[in-house]
Amino acid sequence: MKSIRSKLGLATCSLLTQGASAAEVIDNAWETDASMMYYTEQDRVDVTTLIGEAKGIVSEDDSATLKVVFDTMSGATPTGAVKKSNLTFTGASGGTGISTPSSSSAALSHFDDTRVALSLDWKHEYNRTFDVTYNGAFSVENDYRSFSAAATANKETSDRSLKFTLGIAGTYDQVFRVGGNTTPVPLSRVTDGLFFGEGEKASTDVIAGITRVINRRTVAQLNMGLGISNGYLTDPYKIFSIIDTNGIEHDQYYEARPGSRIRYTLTGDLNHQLYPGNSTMHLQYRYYTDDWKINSHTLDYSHRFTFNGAAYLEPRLRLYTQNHAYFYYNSFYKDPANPTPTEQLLPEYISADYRLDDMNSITAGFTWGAQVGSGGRFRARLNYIQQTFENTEFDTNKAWVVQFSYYNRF
Amino acid sequence: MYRIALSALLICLSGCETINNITSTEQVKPWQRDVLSDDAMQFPQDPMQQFSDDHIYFSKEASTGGNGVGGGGCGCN
Repeated sequence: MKSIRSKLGLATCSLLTQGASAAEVIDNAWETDASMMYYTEQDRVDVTTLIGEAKGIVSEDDSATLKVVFDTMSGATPTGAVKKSNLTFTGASGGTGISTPSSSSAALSHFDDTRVALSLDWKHEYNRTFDVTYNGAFSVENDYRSFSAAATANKETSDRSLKFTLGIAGTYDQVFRVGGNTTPVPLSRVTDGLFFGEGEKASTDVIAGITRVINRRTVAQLNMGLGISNGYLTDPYKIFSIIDTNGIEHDQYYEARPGSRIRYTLTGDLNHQLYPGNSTMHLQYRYYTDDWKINSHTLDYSHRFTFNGAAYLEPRLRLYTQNHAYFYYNSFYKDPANPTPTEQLLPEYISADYRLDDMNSITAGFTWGAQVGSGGRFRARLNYIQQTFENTEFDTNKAWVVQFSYYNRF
Repeated sequence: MYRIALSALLICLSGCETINNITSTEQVKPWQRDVLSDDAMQFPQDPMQQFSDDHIYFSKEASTGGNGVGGGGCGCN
């Protein structure tokens, strides 16, 4: 009996020693994640995004994560104008960053832009089951500046079967056209060249969620989100066409959107590892609605097949559908012979931005991941996105996404 | 025909079993959390890809949000 007691005591000491050693390793851990993503649309936009992230343990209860993002964007983007035009002037010029070749219609504008974004997370664990992550971020590009601050609190039950999350963020954005720090007067004629100063908008986002461990192989999450934006929500580059009975453009105006927007989301996530444990399914559904009368449904499914615990292949399918904003019009009809000034006929808000149209979108692709050494992980993914629109001038948008990422723990 | 019917039956049974496995609740002890601690069981599974996806869909669709708050915006085309 004494011998057994002695062995058990020795085993306990041994386990405690191993635990202390593991804790030391975690305390000293640094993590980095770097990624390069290339997004390319057929005949439209190309974006290259570089992302670098470093996370370090600052103290026993604190960790910090710094993220840097660098985007380069170029190509052609729809302005909202129709393709058939009898105008001889160049409409949607945006200064040095955006220009429309005079030889073609103004339905597409060419642009070049770069963006740098910096984000810092500071996570503090108040006790074993309660932590708060504070975030500050800013983003700068040729025609946009964004500043935000956020806090997200997580509270777990003592048995860690339930986690409650509450997050709040405030964002302040400045919007302007390249080259002039101006925004066009909404619903003004493009050729009149009427401009205000830069636009400003303020947003508040709140998210409340619950994460539930259902069993050893299943965990589920439900999030409710509320977002409120006020200020300049119009796109300073988007225009719409005034057309005749044949659908041919005879004038162009700058768009106007409401000065406020309230958004609601309800998102459900489910992760489940299938028995005997070589694959994991992930299912997400999101319902979105806002006071611009846009409703959308998103279903995202991925399935991770793991090989020898060191590599995985993850096919993915995402389906998305939305209806149009209440002020979306492909164009505005007015008889050129009608002497009434167009401004008197226009609705209070109107936009021909294709992203506010009825839309269906499908994303299909896969990710390949592999363990590298003891602390490294490489991922490569290829996704194909196809968007189809109901009314807009360009009825489809096809894009490829290629991304390579490398995570390392030191 | 027999093989098709058998395959359909197996798929149905497999689906039923999966649903049963997902919905059956149990108290998970700390030493039973090996599967739950796997990267594939986290929300999000891959934060880098989630961040990149949020950026893409924010730029190309009218809907946004649902995966957290903070991080800043952009005037994406």
